[in-house]
Amino acid sequence: MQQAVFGKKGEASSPESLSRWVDLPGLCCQAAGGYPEWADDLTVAWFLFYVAADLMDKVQDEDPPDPWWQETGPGAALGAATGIYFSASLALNRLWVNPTTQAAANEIIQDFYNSFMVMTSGQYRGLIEPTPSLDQYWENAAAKSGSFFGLACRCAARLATADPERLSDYYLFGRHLGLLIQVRDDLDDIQPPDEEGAPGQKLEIARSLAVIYALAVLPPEDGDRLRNTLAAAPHDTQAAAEVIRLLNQSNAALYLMTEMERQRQTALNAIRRAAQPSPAREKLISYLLSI
Amino acid sequence: MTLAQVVYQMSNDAEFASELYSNPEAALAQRGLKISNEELAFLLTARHRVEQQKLDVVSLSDVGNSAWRS
Repeated sequence: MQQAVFGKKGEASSPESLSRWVDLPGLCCQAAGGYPEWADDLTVAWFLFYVAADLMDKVQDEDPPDPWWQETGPGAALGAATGIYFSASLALNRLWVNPTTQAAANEIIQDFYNSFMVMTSGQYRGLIEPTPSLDQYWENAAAKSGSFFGLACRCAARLATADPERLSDYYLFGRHLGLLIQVRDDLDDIQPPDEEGAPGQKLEIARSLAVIYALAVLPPEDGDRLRNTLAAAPHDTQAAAEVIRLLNQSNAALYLMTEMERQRQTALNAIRRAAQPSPAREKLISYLLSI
Repeated sequence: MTLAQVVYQMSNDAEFASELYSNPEAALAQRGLKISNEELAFLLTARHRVEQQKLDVVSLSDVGNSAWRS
């Protein structure tokens, strides 16, 4: 498992896929009573911070490089990430200049940097805890995916309202949306690799929620068997099948479905408290129901 | 963690899994397990979907429209 924020290539968490969420801040602003374009600078900053963090994450995790820095090496990726961080900061500073956003600019900028400190701590914990417990999984997911989406929703709504209860609900909506995306993202790690001729399982399955759950609940001897088969699964079809059998034996599908239900319902309740019925609110709800 | 333990117990104890529908408080108390009413509602809703659609960990990713991945 990798987290949905500082995440994977070509999946829900990649910059390409995150672009599907670029209207999230605008919709939150609109649902809170503003105009979606008020959130344009904030959206640019949010997206650029993500792109920079994603690059840093790939280097930290020693993932295969993207084609553009394959030859030049990770130094080029780090250099680009640094430049993108500053670009994101410049985009945030535009909140001061725009008459429609300047009143909330200080609060939003502070919120951005505080939230990114939380996400960075989650990233750090993920690196020093290669085999997280179930509780640690949820803490890390909340610190990264939850904070990232919660930040976008709260800050965008702040452009239209200063009501602390509503802002808290926008944050909750985004946080649980982010956690739901994370769980769905982890499900992709369980799918067989797309590459032709790849025999077993993806490496990421070892840190997926299904495996962390199974290791938490299985008796010690079954847990040991799961660990051993996981080690062989990337290269061995039989081991990969055994991993899936052990996950199903532990009822992992029901656990994941229950957690998805929890995240979806909690987010739904939050957005229904935060916003009056409107097309923007309905669009936000449709996001939840489509995951 | 308790929710996880309840889910795992359901896979090993058919009687417990059945009692969770008819008398959840007693079923949980008899085995020293405790989850909130909200968690129980999520669990029963999820169980209905998993059983109705015969889902396992691999087929679970096909549930929903998955617009964010398309």
